[in-house]
Amino acid sequence: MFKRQVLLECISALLILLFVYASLSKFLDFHTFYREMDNQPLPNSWTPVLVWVIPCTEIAISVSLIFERTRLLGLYGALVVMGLFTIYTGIILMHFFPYVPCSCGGVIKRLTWTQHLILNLFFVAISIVAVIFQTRKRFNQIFITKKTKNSFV
Amino acid sequence: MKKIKWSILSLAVIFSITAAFATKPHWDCSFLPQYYYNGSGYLPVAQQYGCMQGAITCTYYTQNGGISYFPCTTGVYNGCPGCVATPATNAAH
Repeated sequence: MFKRQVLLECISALLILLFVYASLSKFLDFHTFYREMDNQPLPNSWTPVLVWVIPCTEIAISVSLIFERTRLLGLYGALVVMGLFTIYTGIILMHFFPYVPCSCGGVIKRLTWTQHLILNLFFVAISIVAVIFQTRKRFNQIFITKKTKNSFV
Repeated sequence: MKKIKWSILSLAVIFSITAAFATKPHWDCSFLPQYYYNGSGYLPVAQQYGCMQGAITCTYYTQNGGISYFPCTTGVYNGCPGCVATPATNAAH
């Protein structure tokens, strides 16, 4: 139980590390991030929205991962976001788009798309593990609370 | 357990903020006019251009009126991002 809890904290910390770093890097070099988003094989009309939605979502997930009450929501958010990034990376690698854009975001941009895919798959995997552990923990907490209440009746 | 939790999470937050500031580019060359190398000389980039995946220099900048050019962005220059390359025509026909 203790080991699981420590593992859950470590996974949350890793996800926070990734999301805070990625979002801050985007804000600190916003001009480059905007240009790189324009360069992605997505409609350019989406860029003004995406440049705010992506880093703000990452920060929101990081904050929700810190607090116990919102952690499960944050873990689901992380899983969805990392899942979407993984699908996008997969599509790029399958040459579904007419060209392969640069990969972006702080030192992460030095990675190739294959390395990106491996990194994303790793984070998807640890997010799944954390969701399972956190759901079990929640379930146990509810079950134990109910049991204790019933024993008083 | 709470102590362990807060130490791990605060370490993650502090480390990520420090890393983001440490890897922030000190000077952004992309604010200057960009040029690309076409094999024989440096030409101004198109109004909308892209740097596709690649390890070579995509665009260059100059600070001395074109006497020397310095690498700025990496990738393969594409003056028309999103355009599909037209298939090469067979000259033998």
